[in-house]
Amino acid sequence: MSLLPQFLIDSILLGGLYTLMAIGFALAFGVTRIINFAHGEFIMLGAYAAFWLFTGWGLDPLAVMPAVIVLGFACGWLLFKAFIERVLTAPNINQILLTFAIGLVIQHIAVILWSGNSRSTTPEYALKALTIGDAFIPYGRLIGCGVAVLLVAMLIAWLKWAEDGRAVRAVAQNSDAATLMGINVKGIYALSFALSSALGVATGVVVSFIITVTPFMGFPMLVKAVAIVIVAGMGSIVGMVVGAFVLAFAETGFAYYVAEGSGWAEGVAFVLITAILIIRPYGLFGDAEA
Amino acid sequence: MTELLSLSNIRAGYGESVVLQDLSLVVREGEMVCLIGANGSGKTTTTRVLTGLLKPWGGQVAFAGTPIDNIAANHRVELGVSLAPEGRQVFPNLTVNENLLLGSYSRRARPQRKRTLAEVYELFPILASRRTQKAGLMSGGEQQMLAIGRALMARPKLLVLDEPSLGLAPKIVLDVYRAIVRTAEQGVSILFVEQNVRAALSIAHRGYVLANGRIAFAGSAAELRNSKLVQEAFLAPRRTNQGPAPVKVSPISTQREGGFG
Amino acid sequence: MLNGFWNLVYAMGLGVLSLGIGLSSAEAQGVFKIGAPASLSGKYVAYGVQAKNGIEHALEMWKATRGDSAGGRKIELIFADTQSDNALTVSIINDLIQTQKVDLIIGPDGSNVAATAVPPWKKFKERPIWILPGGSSSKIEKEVGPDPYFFHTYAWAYYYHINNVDALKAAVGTKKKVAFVFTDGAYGRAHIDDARRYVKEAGFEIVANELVREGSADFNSAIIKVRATRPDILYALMQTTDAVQFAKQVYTAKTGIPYLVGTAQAQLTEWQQAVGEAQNCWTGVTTWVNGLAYPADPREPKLLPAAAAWEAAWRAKYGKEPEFLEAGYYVSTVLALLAVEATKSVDRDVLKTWLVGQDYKSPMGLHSKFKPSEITPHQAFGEMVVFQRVKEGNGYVSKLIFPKDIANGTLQTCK
Repeated sequence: MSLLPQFLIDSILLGGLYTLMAIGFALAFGVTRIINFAHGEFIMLGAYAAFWLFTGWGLDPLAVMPAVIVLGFACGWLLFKAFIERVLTAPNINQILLTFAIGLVIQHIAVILWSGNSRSTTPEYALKALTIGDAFIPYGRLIGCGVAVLLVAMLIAWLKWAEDGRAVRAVAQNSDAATLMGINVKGIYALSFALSSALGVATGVVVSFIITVTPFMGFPMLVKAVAIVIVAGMGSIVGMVVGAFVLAFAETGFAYYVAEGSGWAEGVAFVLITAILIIRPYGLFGDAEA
Repeated sequence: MTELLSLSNIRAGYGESVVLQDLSLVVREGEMVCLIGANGSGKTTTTRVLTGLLKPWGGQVAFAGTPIDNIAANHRVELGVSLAPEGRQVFPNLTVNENLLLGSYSRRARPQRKRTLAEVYELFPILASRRTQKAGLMSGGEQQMLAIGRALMARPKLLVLDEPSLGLAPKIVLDVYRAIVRTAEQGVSILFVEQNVRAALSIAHRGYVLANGRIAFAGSAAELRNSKLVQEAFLAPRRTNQGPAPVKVSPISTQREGGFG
Repeated sequence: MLNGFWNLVYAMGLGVLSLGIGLSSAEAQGVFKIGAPASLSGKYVAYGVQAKNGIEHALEMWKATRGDSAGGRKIELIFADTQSDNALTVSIINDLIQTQKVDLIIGPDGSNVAATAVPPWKKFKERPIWILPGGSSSKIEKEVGPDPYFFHTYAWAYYYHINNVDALKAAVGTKKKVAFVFTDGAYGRAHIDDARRYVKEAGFEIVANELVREGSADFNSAIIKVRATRPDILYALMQTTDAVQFAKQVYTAKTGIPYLVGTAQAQLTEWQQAVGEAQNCWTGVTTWVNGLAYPADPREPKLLPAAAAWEAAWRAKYGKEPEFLEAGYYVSTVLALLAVEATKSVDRDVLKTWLVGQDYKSPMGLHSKFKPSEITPHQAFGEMVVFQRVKEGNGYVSKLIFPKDIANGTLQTCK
């Protein structure tokens, strides 16, 4: 029995998930150039929101996603205005320390409020799969991948065609010139950060029925998101999607085809990053200095 | 002629270094005024102060008679002043068309966007033919056209140009200057800052000479051309555009590789 | 004159005597210090909270029945949060022994942190009594060795597997194929060797040994590879989030494997709620479940009541069913307090002798007498029960399937 069909299915579905995980982070980083170490915690908050709405009121995660996204947007905006805005021009280390601290605080509040127990939402489709011969497509992951594709497509469309989407791209490329156009750069930063949080929260809702929810789930996801963005190189969404799939295929490939491979498959991610950065320091799709 | 822009006793600089000691100039409606000076004399500092990107330590900026010192940089374009900045500063990963669309981001300009876009493409046919090309891949001259076109998309009353001829071959400089003149003919007042004095004086009505943080000489284009100061400092034979210069205090460029898009 | 002299001697003698009495009663106002390292945060917080609850409930019950002191000593309890972190555990043990000078240690939970606690404890010549109501890893047993001051009140890993294998043998015989899936952390690696050993010895055929990464988001590759070997029994060695993730993915994959065997996870409410339908037909093995009808101890019916009464009191106080570590920590704390009360001493050799000699019944059921295990001289509660999660009405219950004399169900295949 060939492992190939299942390997392909698993890799593609994981790639979709990784894309969603990374894009929120990439947006904030690409525009504000601040590494948001609390991004993982937004994912975690989204997952818990979905969990409590599911457990308390029996609401399907997909149904509550729009409302949760709006809430995530608002929280991201508030967080930016209250804290992040102050370190926009501060040294990088200050920015990192601030967002890292915010992440830790959120994590520990989560532990206090909700305990460290493993949680999960279990809507109907989460445990079902579509069988194709020997292979199967788990519905939960398929839906997760579908949501990811939808959100990423919406983001790309918005960036390309919406007035403020274009403004976001402009600010990311040259903030002084953007100011000259009449763009409120600080407002765009806040918008980008809020969108990034909204996407993070959406990721959380989706993964609530795919992986286990704990207060500590955020950080490993952040690490992967950073890896993907580095591999992709700055400035390219397409590159980031490719990076997400490269990582997904590499990890899954090792898990399937190398003996005891899943033990260190995630280490492969870091070997990959190092190798790519040695060959192309600006990432696969990054722009070298003009 | 009404006074459109007036800078009075501007004192500005970066950190510890004072660049402008006491700068005063005016631009009236319908004029083409040039501000000439050597490398590092404060030309770009001047444009940054008037667009609000740099807050001066003293003095006043007024537009159409009203002081605008308290108006944030991103709101000044609504007043009708638009800058084609030093070094072009186009958005490199956006297409020509997208760059132009951004030029009309302001509330003032957006409703008339379609019309303005058509006008700009007519003024700069080269941009029309490169509509979908990424701005960062164009030549210096094409980028300069784009920077001007983008500034025009804001439907300004006053167009400010910072060193439009910098780094361009003489033939291209000619094309750019022709475009500037055509723009002025449409009724836009022009203030441009230049190191290439010959070219500047060839189209300006009036000019100011900036030296040691002050206006050293002011007058009509002819007066400037004939003045000893200008002749010795700028029009001496075989001077290249970038002459031996004092250390230039530059504002930190906010243009970044990559960006997002 | 002679009378005067003897009077003086008597007076001095009385003086010394009363001084002596005075001093010893002052000493009898001494303290019994219990050091309790527990994972109150971090990934083992689920265990740490149980430890804390169990100890605190024991102290409350003691206060209610015996008052504030044990053996005439004030009871002082010192909790220290390991944060599920190995390095921190080492400093905590050092601090408890060296600085706080505790008389007895109860905890920590979680095999990883328990293992880390061993070297710092052992290095002290005057180390206090250590009661460990957790920590199953055989690594701990090997490192502690035949230490006289160590009392293990939980099952060693190999007990899990001895009991699992005996249960399987009794239910389906040994002509079956077993596939192992284990995590690459301390837990999985600690259990795999013992599990393999006992499974092989019993006569089962091992057809797969799949290693998976602790904390992985996707176990599909392992599940697919295992499914290809067509095993009868899937034997999973993992805990916390991995156990949740794995159970859900096994269910989604519809592997068709008839028997799903786990270790401790299937009894945790946390696991059951997180996996939902996927818990069906998983077996678990544990030192303690709800509903075992164990009797009270006749000597201490209030402190060590019948299991049902103890569970009811717990439910009334905490609003939920007690979990296995809560029971274990409760009983261990009660034994420690009884030891000090009975001997009126905190000397470790005195306590040791009493602990070795005691034989109380408890809500943990099977009697608490310490017996030697493979290496440890003092092992209690090694006997375990095997149960299976089965659907009943709208929910799931644990049916005891082994040992036969307390079983209320038989091993079912997964449909």
